[in-house]
Amino acid sequence: MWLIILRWVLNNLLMQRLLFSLLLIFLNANAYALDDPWIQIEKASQAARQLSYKGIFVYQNNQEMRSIEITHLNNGKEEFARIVNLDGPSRELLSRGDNVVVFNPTKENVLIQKRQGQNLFPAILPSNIEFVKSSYSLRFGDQERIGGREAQIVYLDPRDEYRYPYKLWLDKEFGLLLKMMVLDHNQKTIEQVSFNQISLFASQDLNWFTPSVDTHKKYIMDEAPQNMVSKETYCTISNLPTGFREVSHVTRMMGRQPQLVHQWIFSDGLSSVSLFVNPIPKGQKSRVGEIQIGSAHIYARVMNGSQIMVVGEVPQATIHKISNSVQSVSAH
Amino acid sequence: MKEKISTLLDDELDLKGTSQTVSEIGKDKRLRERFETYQLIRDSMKNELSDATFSSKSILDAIDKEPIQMQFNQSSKIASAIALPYPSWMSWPVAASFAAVLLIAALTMNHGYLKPSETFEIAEDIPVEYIQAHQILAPTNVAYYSEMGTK
Repeated sequence: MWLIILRWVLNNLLMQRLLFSLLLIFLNANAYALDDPWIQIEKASQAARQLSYKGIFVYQNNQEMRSIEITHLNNGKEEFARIVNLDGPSRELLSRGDNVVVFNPTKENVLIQKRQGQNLFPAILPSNIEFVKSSYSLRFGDQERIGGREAQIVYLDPRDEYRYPYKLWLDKEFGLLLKMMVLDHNQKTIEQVSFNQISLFASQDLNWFTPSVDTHKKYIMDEAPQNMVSKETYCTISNLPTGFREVSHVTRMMGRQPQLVHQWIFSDGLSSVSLFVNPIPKGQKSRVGEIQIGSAHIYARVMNGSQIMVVGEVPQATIHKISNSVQSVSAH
Repeated sequence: MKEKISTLLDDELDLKGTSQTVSEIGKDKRLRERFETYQLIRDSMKNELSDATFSSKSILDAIDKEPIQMQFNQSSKIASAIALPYPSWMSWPVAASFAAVLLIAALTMNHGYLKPSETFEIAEDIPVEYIQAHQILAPTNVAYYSEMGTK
C-alpha cells in the first residue's frame, strides 16, 4: 500500500515538474510575441541603418552564388557603406546617405553609375514598416546560430498572392538581420543571403571608405535616367495590386534603336516591379508574351500602339496585375 | 555645368564664377544631386573624407541659405590632393544635355508611330535592355546581385 502511495506521489511530482518545464519552454519561445511582434521587425530595420558593422555574407539565388563584404558605419549624423563583390567580376558600391555610386572596373576603364537608394541586405526592410504590416502577417519560429550569433527566426507570410513569403533570422541582442530567405509559394528558395561572419565596431574612422580601383584608368560616368518632375499624364494607371505604390518614375533612352521609354518602379516595401511604356516606332516589331528568367517574371503586351513591358522578381500574378493596371496610353 | 561643378569642388573657381555656379545648383534639384554624386565619388576616391566633407558641406549649406553670401574654404586640401585625371564626362557642357533632350523631343514628335504590323514572342527575343533597366533602378537584393549575371 505504502509503495503504491509513494509511486503516485512521485509520478505526480514528476508530472508537475514536466508541466513546469514545458510552461517555461513555451514562455521562452513566446517571449517575443508578448509585446507587439512587429517591434522586432522595426528593430531590424533600424539596426541595419543605425549600427556600425563589418562582415562577409553569401548571396545565393537560383542562378549563382557569391561572397560579399560589407562595411557600414553610422557616425550619428550620416550613414556610410561599402559593399564589395569578393567573387567574380570586381564591383563595389559606395553609399553616403541616399547617395549611391557603383564602381565597375573593366580592363580598360572604370564605369561609375549613380544609383537610387538601395535596400540591400541587411537593410532590406523599409524605414516605415507600416508598408510591410499591411501586406504580411508575422509569426515567430525557432532560434538558430548564424555567423556566430544567436538568432530568432521570424516568418513574414503574405496576405495575398501578390508577394513571396520571407524567412528572417534576427540577431537576438541587436535585432540586425543575419540571414534571409525568399521562398516561392511552393516553399522553394528563390533567394538566400546569410552572414558567415559579422562584427560590430565603434570606430568612426573612414579610411575604408574608398573604392579599390586603378586611379590611372579612364573613368566613364553612366548618368542616371532623368526623373520625371512634372505630373505628365502619359498613362492612366489604376488598380495596382494591394500594397504596391509608385516609388519612382523616370524616362530613359533604350533599345537597339534608342527611343524614349517611361519607367515606373512600384514597391510594396520589400519587392520592386518595373513598368515600361513606350510608343512602338514605325517599322519596329513589338514584343508580346511572357517568360521567366531566374526569379524574374517578364510580361509584354501591346496597347494602342505602345509597348507595355513589366519586369519584377514577384509572382506572375503581380506582373499581370500591374500590366493590366495601365488603363490607357496617350495618343502620340 | 559639369565642368563648373567639378571645378567648384576643387575650389578653383573665382568668386564671380562660384557665386553663379552655386546659384545655378541651388535652383536645380538635378544639378544639386549631380554635385552630391561628384562629391561622393571624389571624396571616396581620394579618401580624404573629413577635409572634403567640410568643404563640400559648407558649399551645400550655403546653397541652402543664400547662394550669393557663401564663404569659401580656401584652405581646403582638395585641389592640391587631386590625383585623378579629369574624366571625360565632367567636361561635357550642359548645353549638350539640353540639345540631347531637344533632339529626343523632336524625334518623338516627328516620328511616325503606327500600329506595328509584326510581333515577336519575348521567349524568342529576350528583352535584355528592359531587364537591365529594371535591375539598375530597382532597389532590391535580387535586382542588384542578378545584374552581374546579365553582363
